[in-house]
Amino acid sequence: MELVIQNDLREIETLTRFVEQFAEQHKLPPKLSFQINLALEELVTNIISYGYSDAGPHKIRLVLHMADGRLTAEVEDDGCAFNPLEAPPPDLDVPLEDRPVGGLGIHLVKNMFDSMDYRRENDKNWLILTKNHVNVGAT
Amino acid sequence: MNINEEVRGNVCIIALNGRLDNESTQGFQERISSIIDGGQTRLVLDLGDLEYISSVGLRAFLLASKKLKPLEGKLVLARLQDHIKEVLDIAGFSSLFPSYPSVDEAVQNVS
Repeated sequence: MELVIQNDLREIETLTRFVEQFAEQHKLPPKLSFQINLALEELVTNIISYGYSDAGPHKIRLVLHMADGRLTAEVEDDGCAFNPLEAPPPDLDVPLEDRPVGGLGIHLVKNMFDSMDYRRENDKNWLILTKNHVNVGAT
Repeated sequence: MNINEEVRGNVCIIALNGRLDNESTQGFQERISSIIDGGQTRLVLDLGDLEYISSVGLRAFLLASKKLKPLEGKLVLARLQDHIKEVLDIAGFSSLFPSYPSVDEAVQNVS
């Protein structure tokens, strides 16, 4: 299933419906649907908020695919080069009052999926998230 | 998202129903700020009907907690569902915010 959205935070709602439809079609358990929604929202919010050096319109392409118990989520954007795999993890051991309020999103995405691959090609960011052994049809 | 407030003794219980995402978090943040500004410093967040939370929502918890700190206030969580608890665990928030299986227990421990 594929969805193309604009670089506008209001599109997050479209993204949510897209994930719901995909989850319904493949009878994914609610927890997994939640994890996909969360990961895509974090990534897309980052791209829209920090990814572009101009204020013009851009397209972000999302693909969800499910085959043989393996789920992949693909995010493609034409923003500035950004490899989330190189983003430093937040320090979770510092006291509450010293915690920076940012930096959590990518950390959540990394932990919700089994693997994450990034490449920069044709001035585009391609990110592929994979989750193995997905229990299809579970309730 | 729906936000309901209930005051019990010196504790304010804030029940969240729906999605705490990019769109709804600002409203939640303003609401919790005004609750704290209104003098409530012992807060229970009832998350039993919270369907969704993303990192912006987590940041709002953190900001509320930072605001409570100089007031010697306290923020605890109640009725975490599995998928919400997992996000809090991954974010390292479980050690920051005590959580309780019921609102009553949360109220007892925060008052």
